[in-house]
Formats: sequence, C-alpha cells, structure tokens
Amino acid sequence: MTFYVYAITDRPQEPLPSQLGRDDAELEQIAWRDIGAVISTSGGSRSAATSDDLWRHEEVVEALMAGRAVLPARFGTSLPSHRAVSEMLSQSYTRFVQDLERVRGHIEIGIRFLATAERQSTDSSPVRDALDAAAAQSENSAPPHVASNGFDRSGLGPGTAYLQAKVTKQRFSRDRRRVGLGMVQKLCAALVSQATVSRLDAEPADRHGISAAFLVPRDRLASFQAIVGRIADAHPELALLCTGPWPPYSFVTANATEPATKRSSNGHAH
Amino acid sequence: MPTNSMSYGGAKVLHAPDDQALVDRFAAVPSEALRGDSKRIMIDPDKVGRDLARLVLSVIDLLTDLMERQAVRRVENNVLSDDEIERLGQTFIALQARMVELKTAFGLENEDLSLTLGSLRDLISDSE
Repeated sequence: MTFYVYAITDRPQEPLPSQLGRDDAELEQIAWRDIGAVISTSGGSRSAATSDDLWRHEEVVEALMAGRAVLPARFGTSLPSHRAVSEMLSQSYTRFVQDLERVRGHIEIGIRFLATAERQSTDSSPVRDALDAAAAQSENSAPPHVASNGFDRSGLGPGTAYLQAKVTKQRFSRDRRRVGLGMVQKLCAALVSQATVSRLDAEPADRHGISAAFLVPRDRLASFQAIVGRIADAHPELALLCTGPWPPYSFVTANATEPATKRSSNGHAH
Repeated sequence: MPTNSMSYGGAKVLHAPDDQALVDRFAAVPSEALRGDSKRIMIDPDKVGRDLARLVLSVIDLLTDLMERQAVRRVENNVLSDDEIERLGQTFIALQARMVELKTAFGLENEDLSLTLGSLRDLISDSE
C-alpha cells in the first residue's frame, strides 16, 4: 500500500473537497501544526499512468486551491506510509510555510514558444533575423577553408567528418537556444512586470522550444492575458501557446519526497 | 481567446496560434510528468529478452550521447590531435552501426530507447 500525495496546503482544519482522488479513492489529510498533506491510499501495483490520471491529480489540486494556499506535489509522488508523510511535513515544515506564503493568492501561467525560426513566412522579423544570424555565425566564423570548429575541410577522413558534423550541429543548437532565450526574454519583459516571480527555460534540444512560467496574482490574470495577446499580435512569426491558470507547480522549492538536505525545483510541463 | 482546442485541457488554453498544425505540434510534445510515470522501465516476463535489450540499449544510447558531447567539447578546445579525432570519430561510427544491428535484431525503434532513466537523463541536460 502506498500513499499518493496531491499537495501540501495551509488551513488543514478546513474540510476536504468532495472530489475523489486517483483510482476514485477518497481524499485524506495528514496535518502537522498549521499545514497538511492531502493524500489518497493506493493499493498495490497499478498499471501505467494515463492522461486521465494526470487530470485527476490536477482536479484535486484545483479543488483544494478554492479554499487554501496550495503547494502542488509533482504528479506521481507517493510515500510508503502515514508516518513517512508526517515526517516529510515535519522535516520540511519551514520551507513549506515559506513557499505557501509566497504562492498564496497566486496562480501559475505557462507560455511555450515553439520553433520560432520555422514559421513559413517571407517577412523579416527581429526574432527570425537574430536566429538566422546565430546560424550564420555558427557556420561562418572561420576562414573559408576551415570550418567553424577548426577542421580543415580538405581531405577529411570519415571519422573526422562525423565529428565535424556533430560539432556543427551542437554549436548551431547552442547558439540558437541562446539567441532564442535572449529574444523571448526581451519579449517577456512586459509580462514579468505583471508577475511576482517568473522563470524562463530552454526545453530539451529535441524539442527546440522555450518555456516560461509566471506566478501571477489572481486579480492580474486578465491584464496578463491581454499582454500575451498583444505580444502574439506583434510577433506573428512566434508560435506561442499560453495556458493556465495552473497551480504553482514551477514555484515550489520544497519537494515532497526529498529529504530536507536536498532540494530542487518541482517540474511540471504545461 | 483561442478558437483551437487541444486534446489535453482545451479549457486551459488562454492563447494559441491560429494555425491548427502548430497547435498540434504543441500537443505532440509529450508531458514530462506523464512520461515520468508511464515510460518507466517495465519488464514483462513474456518478453523479458526484448525488454532487457531495450533497457541495455537505452543506457548505451545515453552513454554514447554523453561521450559524443564530451568528444565535441574536446575537439572545440583543441586538445585532440588530427589522428585522435579521426580514430574517435570512426569509433562512434562503428558504435552507431552496431547499435543499428542490435535494434534491428530485437525489433526496436529509436522511440523505444527513449525510456525515462531518472537522473541519468539529467546528465544530458546538464551538459547542454
């Protein structure tokens, strides 16, 4: 038997929502001082997770947000016993309280920028120009007979040619991510002013995207959304997906399954 | 407001491109969270040989990727002679060829090797 964790919340004296948890299990709560962990019991091994499981997790966390400040647990977080849940709460109590204070009254908005250079358009744009310049610099920053990685192009052996291709590819990828991040950072300046905290991350190289997350006061959602619309209108070359409101997955510093001595940010894909 | 909806959480979309093909590309990117749970390594007793091969080849694929990145860094830092670069490159070519043979032998595709390997995968992110 395991105990699936949905969130850490304040106000544990409040009744739990009627929402059912994963596998239609009833929600339970384990309190420690003025915070609590909302969990459900899961019996034995289960089959692979589905998108329905993911959305059930989300529904529970959102139902909790209606009446409490909430630190959402990463999807899939389980602990082996009630005692382990209590220990997690007591050991990380200070961090949880600080995080709860920071996210109270806020929601998370996610924006993903995808493949900015690949939009089909003949128009010039600052974003595409910068990305094109980065690509050109990767290829042309060396004399004509020497590739940008220092290889002499004449008489390459197959092994050298293989590594040359890898060097060029990785350099292009790095340059493109760096320039893309810089451009998106500039575009996001107006959004950052509406948010309490923000973070910008290049997605893994195989996705070629950039993700941004914003911790936004609830009452600024409309103005934030309006700015997003203006950015999208001003930069039609950008493929921009804005989603939310979400629980503050990207702004939880205390992880529900890690000991107090080891901390990392709590990831969530929008 | 967007007119497009996505297979997941259409109600959560505050703004999306008008081009449905682009929206589909966003939706096609797998959720890290879901990948983390559903693509964990599972060994089926009836297909143990193939599943073990999948696991072993996934690890080799990851290590090859890491070694290639390290080789690229050394090339860029000019710490290898021309002969060393050629030999290293040929080693990677031979390794890739062997991987293709093994994947074919076990009926595996490249996507089959994209298992969640926990913090091992972070090595790739950290090295980028």
